[in-house]
Amino acid sequence: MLVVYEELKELQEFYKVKVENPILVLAENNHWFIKEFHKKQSIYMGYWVEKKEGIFKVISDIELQEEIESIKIINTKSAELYLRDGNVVKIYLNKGKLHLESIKPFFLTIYFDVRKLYSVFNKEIPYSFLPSTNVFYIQFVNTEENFDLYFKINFEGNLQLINEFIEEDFEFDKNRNAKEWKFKILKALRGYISKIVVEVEDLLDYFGGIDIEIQHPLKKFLFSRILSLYNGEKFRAGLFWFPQRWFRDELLTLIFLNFNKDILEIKRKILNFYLNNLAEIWDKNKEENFLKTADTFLLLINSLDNKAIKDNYDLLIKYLKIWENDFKKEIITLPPKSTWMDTKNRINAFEIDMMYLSALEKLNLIDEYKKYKTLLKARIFSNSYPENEILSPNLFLGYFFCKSFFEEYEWLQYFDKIIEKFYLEWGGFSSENKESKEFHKVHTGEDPRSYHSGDSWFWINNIASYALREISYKKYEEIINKIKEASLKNLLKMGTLGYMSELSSAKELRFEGCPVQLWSLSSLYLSI
Amino acid sequence: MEKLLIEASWEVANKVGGIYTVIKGKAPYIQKNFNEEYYLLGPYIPEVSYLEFSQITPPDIFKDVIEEAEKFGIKVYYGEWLINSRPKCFLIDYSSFLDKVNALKYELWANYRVDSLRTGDDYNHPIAWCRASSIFLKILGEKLSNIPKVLHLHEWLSGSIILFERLPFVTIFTTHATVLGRAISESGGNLWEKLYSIKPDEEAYKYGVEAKHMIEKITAKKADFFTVISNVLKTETEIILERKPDFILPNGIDITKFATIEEITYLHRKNRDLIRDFILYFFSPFYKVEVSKSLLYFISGRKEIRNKGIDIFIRALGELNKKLNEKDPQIYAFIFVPSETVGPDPLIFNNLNVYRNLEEKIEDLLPEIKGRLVHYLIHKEKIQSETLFSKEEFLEIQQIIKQLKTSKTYPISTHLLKPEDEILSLLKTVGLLNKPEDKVKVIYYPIYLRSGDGFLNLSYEDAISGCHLGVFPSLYEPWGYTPLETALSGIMTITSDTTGFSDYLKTITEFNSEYPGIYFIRRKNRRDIEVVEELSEIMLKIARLSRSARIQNKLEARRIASLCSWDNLIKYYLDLYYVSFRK
Repeated sequence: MLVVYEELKELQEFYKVKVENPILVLAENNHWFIKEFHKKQSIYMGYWVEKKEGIFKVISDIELQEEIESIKIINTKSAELYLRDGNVVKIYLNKGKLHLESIKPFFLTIYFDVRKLYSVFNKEIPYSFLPSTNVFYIQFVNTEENFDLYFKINFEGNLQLINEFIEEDFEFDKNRNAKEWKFKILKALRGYISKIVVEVEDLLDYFGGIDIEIQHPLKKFLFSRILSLYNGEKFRAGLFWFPQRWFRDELLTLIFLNFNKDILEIKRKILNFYLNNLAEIWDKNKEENFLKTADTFLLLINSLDNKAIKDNYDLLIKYLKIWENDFKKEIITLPPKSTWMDTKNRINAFEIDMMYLSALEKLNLIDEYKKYKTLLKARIFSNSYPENEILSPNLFLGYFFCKSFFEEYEWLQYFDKIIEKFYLEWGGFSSENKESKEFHKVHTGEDPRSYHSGDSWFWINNIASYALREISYKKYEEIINKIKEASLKNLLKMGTLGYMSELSSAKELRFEGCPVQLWSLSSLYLSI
Repeated sequence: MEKLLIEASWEVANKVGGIYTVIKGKAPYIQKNFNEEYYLLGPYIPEVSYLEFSQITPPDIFKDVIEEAEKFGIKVYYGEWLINSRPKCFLIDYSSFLDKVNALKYELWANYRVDSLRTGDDYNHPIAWCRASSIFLKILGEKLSNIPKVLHLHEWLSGSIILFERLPFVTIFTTHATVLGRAISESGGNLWEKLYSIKPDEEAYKYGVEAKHMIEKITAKKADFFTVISNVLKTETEIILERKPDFILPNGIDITKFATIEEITYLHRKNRDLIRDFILYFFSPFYKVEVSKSLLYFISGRKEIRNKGIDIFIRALGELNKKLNEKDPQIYAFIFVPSETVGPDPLIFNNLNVYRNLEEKIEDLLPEIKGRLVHYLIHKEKIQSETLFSKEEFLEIQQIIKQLKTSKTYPISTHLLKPEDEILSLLKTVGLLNKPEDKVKVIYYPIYLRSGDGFLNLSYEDAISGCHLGVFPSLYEPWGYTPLETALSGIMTITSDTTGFSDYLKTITEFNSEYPGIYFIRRKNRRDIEVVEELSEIMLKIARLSRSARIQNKLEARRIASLCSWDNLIKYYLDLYYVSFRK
């Protein structure tokens, strides 16, 4: 299908592209709409809203009868669907409402599926409809899961109530090995209309957005996608799933966007949240998380500017001691699943060591920095540090945080070795040595076998590209360009239009993992 | 100048290890054949070079080259190496390249995949020197483009000279032992058991020698000619360096520095008696010892218990102790292996001093005693100690003797050792505790021998010349200078079939089966227990040899070792150079 990116008009290469099985994503602060066009639905697609009580799905799909020939992405909130009969349907989000409108009427069917995020509830609970002139008021009450939701659909045209439960195969989820992929949804309404507006009651306050001053069209494009995942208070880690705040994802994004002046106010607000809530969150990855996490506090220090460090110095030192008490024996020793590779039990993690060293530097603890650096290097060079932690793409992340740890020639040698063992010809890095028995070349979806044992993570690829560029563009030019090409392909020519997914199979460049991933976008922003 | 031969080594005018001796020994012979067409190339290290090197004005032909090199920050010192034949050499000051060593290391990684992440100064300095030398040689090669030129490199230390630059020289690379083979052996591994099953590049990582190994391997592949020093090493390099050597260049020995047969006999007697005196002092405070007919065995070398076969020697001594009977001579076995000590054993030290005091006292009294002896003899009176000494003298002597000290355990070493000392543990394990009834008594001498060391007070050469047998059952000895020099000193020698020179000798001479002089025991592909048995049997056989048979053996040892003189072996080098200049 032809896709036109209106915002990339200046870049001929990306302005009009062909995309197989495109997925439209529109996102605005507290609601988002995801639609695919080839009957490969996911339970996570459709229209979602965020309320004070949590995140809810409202509409499973809005199905157009006429075939869509092309899509024009206007911006993160609006798009135009060009139908085969010449009609154009504009679909957009505006101040908490979902709009569809066209010049001449089109036929659609609306499917409801009100549910809480991550719920696999699958019983036929009746929806209450209150029809009125050009509007349906709908009430849904789920006593078993203890929530209710009210919304209304305004329309122009002829929209009729069907109110019939059907069982739908969610092929997208089936293909990614989801445990549940058959759900009962409500075929609710259908008819010829020229406009509908969906409005859910009690959404979170609307955040007006910020002015973007960046001129570079691709950077501006990426930055607006990143901002579309900001709800006025926090960044979502991703979509379709992971729409909550994940500390690691959010803090890394702030670090990757370090030189972006447009984001300063947002950054200040977010970092204040962390500083004000350190006691509760310093070793967590999510507010509701129970797993001990090693990097949140270190990433926070790495996100702060000198003034913020100075203003909060005593607090940071206090928590540094607490952190060291928990995570540092002689060298940093980690509890299971406490790093970004959260399916793995890593006792040592090179990137954590580098974040720690960088934090010491930022806190001006130079003697401690030197002492730890010497100790760690001795461990590494005497082979008493796990080799698979050094020879891993995490080393690129390590370089990003603490370039001064190794000599330049040492970085170069390690990078060459990593390229030899982990680089994938399509422009990515495998998360496992290609010759290892543990290596999975194809993504195993919800089954986490391939997750950190073969899958190629775009954010790591982008950081690798950044590191290689920093150290020697001339030497690594081909790889840097390949990675960029792969990331841009994922961004613009695969899956979710204008958004990057979490990862790809090692075998070939694919659109896999979480379909919209914040750190994939922000790391690409950094790397270009 | 019609041709040019340059021999490069990190050990030219820089004594670090055995290569220094090799080059020093062969240099006069090469000079004789090549005259002013032979030059050595080494590192300029100010604190060492001033002792080893004398700078002279370079001939015109080199002046431009030296000046040109200076433009690259390379100071070239031209002069003479201060050994007897005073060969001409270039010493390269590489100090300005040390600042760039990381870039050089990366260059080797980028071009040859030499992983130098775990390297330190022992790698950095040779690499910096090689880079500076490669530039100098390139300039020199271009200047002398119209004549044939040969560059001979020794060991990995000089190997990267030809990795940094494509030089207009025919190149020869000689390795005297592989880095990996040495590393495995030094850490106690049995190279011969592993050799056919290891993946050398991976194994190098285990021993932390990956960078040096890779330099060695790549240089061996890149050189026009690759040579080794023995057949033993040939097998090793074929597997470890993946290149079959083109030539085998046996290492010669400079026999002029060794004593003549006549001197050997004199030195043996003199030093044997001194050692026997020492044994007397060492043991007699504890029990009566018999030294007059005793035999003196020894082992020497670095403290590499497995590699040098120290374990085998001790276990074989244990067996020998059981095999020797009443009639057999007493064996005193010295272990000349420097080791970490707590300090000299005060008890041994005290007893030695007491004996020296006693000797002095007796010496003072000798004129008196002489007079009394004459008196008693003339008057045919019975001589008794009470009558030989006055009462006062007798008391005085008794007082000195009373100062002798003993302990609950019998002495083994001149020095107090750490409880974890491996040699001491081995001796205890095999039951060699120097009990009065033991036919084999051991003296562990854990310091470097030197005159004035407070105990034997003999240099290494003097100490071994007083002994009857040197034992070197090494697992890994690519050439084996130590056993060779022992044999050349006219001492019966036992060594192993892993010793490089043993293969060479087998190809050039017949061994005398009755008086072999040098005994070779088989270690390759053999269990330790079998080696121990064979060694103990040979040591027993030697213990039971008649005096004349021992002399025959000593002469034969000397004769065979002499075959390894540079006079005989230089031809291999000359043949190689001949071929190289025609390439």
